[in-house]
Amino acid sequence: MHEASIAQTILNELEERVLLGQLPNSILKVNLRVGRFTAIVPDNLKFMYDVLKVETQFSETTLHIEEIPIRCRCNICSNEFILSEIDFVCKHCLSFPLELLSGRELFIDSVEAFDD
Amino acid sequence: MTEKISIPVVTKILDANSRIASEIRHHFQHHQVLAFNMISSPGSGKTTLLETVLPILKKRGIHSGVIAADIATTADADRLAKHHIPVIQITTESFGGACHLEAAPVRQALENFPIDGLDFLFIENVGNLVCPAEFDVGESLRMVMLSVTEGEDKPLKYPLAFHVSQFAVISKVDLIPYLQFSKEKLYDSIKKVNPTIHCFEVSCTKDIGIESLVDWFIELNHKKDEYLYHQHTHPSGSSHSHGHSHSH
Repeated sequence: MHEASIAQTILNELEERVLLGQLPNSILKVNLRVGRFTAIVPDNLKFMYDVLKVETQFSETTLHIEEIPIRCRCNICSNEFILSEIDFVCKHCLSFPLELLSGRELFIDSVEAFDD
Repeated sequence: MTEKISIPVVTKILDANSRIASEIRHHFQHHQVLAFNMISSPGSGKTTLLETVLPILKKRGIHSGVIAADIATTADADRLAKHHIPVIQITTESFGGACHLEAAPVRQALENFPIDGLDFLFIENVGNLVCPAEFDVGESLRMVMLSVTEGEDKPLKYPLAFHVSQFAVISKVDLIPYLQFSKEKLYDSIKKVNPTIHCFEVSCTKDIGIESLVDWFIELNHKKDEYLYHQHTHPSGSSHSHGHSHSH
């Protein structure tokens, strides 16, 4: 349910940047990068974005989400690997804790717009 | 003809929240107050734990306050006020019925909450194991709570809350004989998500494990500076091993 709050924050950020002249009015698509180890459900976020954008100048925009895998490095054997299931123990030497290299991202990467 | 272009933005969505959380953290440092963000499902016993532990800590010279958050009602604050614990209630109804606390309402609550003379501040988050895990509210430590009636698989179902916490309180352990509950499975689940987390088993109604938990809080108070000035609630969640560790 906090996806509503996240979606609203995205719209606020876009609005602020358009006001500041950092982004054009003609935004078509917003590209988001979301790590797999966040409490975000991409479909819920897209749904909330589509609900909340209606009353804004971004009603014609689409939200595109690229998911980023959970990548870890073992502090002991330095092996790097992607966690396909939640088990924060090194697959190679069974040590822990692991350093999380990616998977906690939540950011607007870029927007696509008409060049006006 | 107009062409489509791609414009890099690279803005962290939670930056605004993190900035406010950072202000709150400085406020706590200035007042030497160690803040705990308590995360759990509704009904795991957060308020009961505070009602049990805080009066004992007070007798041992540690003064605590509570920010209690719920979507609606002041029931939790009313319960704690009866124990003469300084408490302020945030109802997230006025923040759109949010299912979690963000830094802004905590900052607002702190404006009317004198924290001078307090050693600890417990921020009792909205009962929810999902959303609160994502939001920094300026705490020094995160504590996740799970009652045995919720089942031993919850850490795997809600991994982030367990991953970003430094200690876990397993509550209502007196009920285990009446449940099909395996402690071994629970600890297997917890360790997969966070291999270095400290765990405490308690029952507030049967006074089980309370003394160990109180001792842990006293130890944290002794090492207050270490926790106040080094953020342990890393987003990457690599929990630090400090002092007491519960054996199970």
